[in-house]
Amino acid sequence: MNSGTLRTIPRTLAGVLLVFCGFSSVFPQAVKAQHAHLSLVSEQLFVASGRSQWIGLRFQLDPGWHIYWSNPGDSGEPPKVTWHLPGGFQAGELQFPAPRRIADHGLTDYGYENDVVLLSKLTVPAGATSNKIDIGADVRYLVCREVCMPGKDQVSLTLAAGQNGTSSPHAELIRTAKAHLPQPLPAQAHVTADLRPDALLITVGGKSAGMGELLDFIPSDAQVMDNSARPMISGSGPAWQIKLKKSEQLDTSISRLRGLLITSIGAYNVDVAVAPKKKNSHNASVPKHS
Amino acid sequence: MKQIRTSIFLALALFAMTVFAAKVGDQAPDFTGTDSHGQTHKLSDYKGKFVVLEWHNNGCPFTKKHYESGNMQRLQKEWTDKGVIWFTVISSAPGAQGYVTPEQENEYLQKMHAVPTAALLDPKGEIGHLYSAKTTPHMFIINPQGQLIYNGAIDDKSTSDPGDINGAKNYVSEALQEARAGQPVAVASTRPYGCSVKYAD
Repeated sequence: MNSGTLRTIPRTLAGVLLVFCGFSSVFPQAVKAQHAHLSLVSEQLFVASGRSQWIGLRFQLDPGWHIYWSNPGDSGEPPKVTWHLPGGFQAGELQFPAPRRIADHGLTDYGYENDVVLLSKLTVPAGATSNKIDIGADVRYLVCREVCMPGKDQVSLTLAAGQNGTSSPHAELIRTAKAHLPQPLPAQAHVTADLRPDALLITVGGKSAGMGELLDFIPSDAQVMDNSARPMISGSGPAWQIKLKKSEQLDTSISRLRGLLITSIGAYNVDVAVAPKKKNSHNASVPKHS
Repeated sequence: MKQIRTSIFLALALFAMTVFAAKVGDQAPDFTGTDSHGQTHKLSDYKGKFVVLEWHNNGCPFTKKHYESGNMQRLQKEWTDKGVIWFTVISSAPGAQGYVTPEQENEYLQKMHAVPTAALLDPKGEIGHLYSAKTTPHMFIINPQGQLIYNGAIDDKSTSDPGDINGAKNYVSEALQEARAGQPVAVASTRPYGCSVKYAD
């Protein structure tokens, strides 16, 4: 046995211990809540000094229950997170996978059922070496089926500093969630939006052939379109036109239209300037009364 | 042919009802409702006064936000003291969340120290559908001439967190202040927030 081997023994032992500790603590401490089981999950088993990596807030919902997207639609409320992180760590804004439409007593909401992971990019400071890095989150959310229940949970996850590249048991969950995040529009796709007296028109053109079949548009902002009026889609790839019924509250012009184009293969982020109404067009704004 | 014409007429009538129900600036649809004491109230009998309609469901977290904090009761007290008529309207269907018998509602009003002019029980959802009330709470204001001057949220913090009441811009108070001062209502239509109204399916 040479001195080199001797030196590696404690290091290997430390490594084994780290993996062991990592494993025992990488399983999140889920807090039991009504109709929703929350947990924090990490893609990587270790946190790598000076790098950023994905963590996720997982909601496992009872059958029929749902939580909400960042724009909840006609009713409801999106989850809110307050992070508790060691010094120098930062958690990026929550990133929501593309939601689905959920019918609710004649209203239309946007949200998730079954199992969903909301993502956040964790930025690790340079020089992070601790083998006990506690990541905590206070979460407020609303979970609904026929009725809504407010939830308030604390979830946490303990990771150890180490090299990137070792997947945690939840890596697949995070990868799936990432795959469902809305993507940027293909570089050569061309999207425009026009405000008409009674509708918002979106035109998709250019090289949008790889985007799949256009199925739906979901607005990122409230008060823009009537959520329950299904967008009318005409044309075929790569040239589409989508007609949205304006929201009753949209009584003034809007400068940008933000939302998701939902296609057969995924979701794309749209954020385009809205062409102002033509001068000779009828002004549809609602008169104000005192 | 006649049948077709009738169905076109019905479709148009239905269309008109859904599109023109409760639009700000228009005459507010008239209704007659029965309150938790068995008294009837006809909206048009209150011409000459401001009328507030507040959609309510005692089990909804957004309603609880405004009642358990005392916010809704403060608004009811403040504005009814100034001569405003305030109707709490309950459109939950029997068996659905928020449905109450007259006795249960009277007990609730007493327990919560709620002071609307009256709580109208609308289990068939007739008043709710007439106004297209979507959420609890969903607020409407009618001016002394019977025109709808506000339709939307109670305030600008669309959460169920009572901690968000302080610092929120209360649209109902602002609209009433402006309208009572003879000014136009600056924010007359907003997206209501809350739970869906639990109408009969």
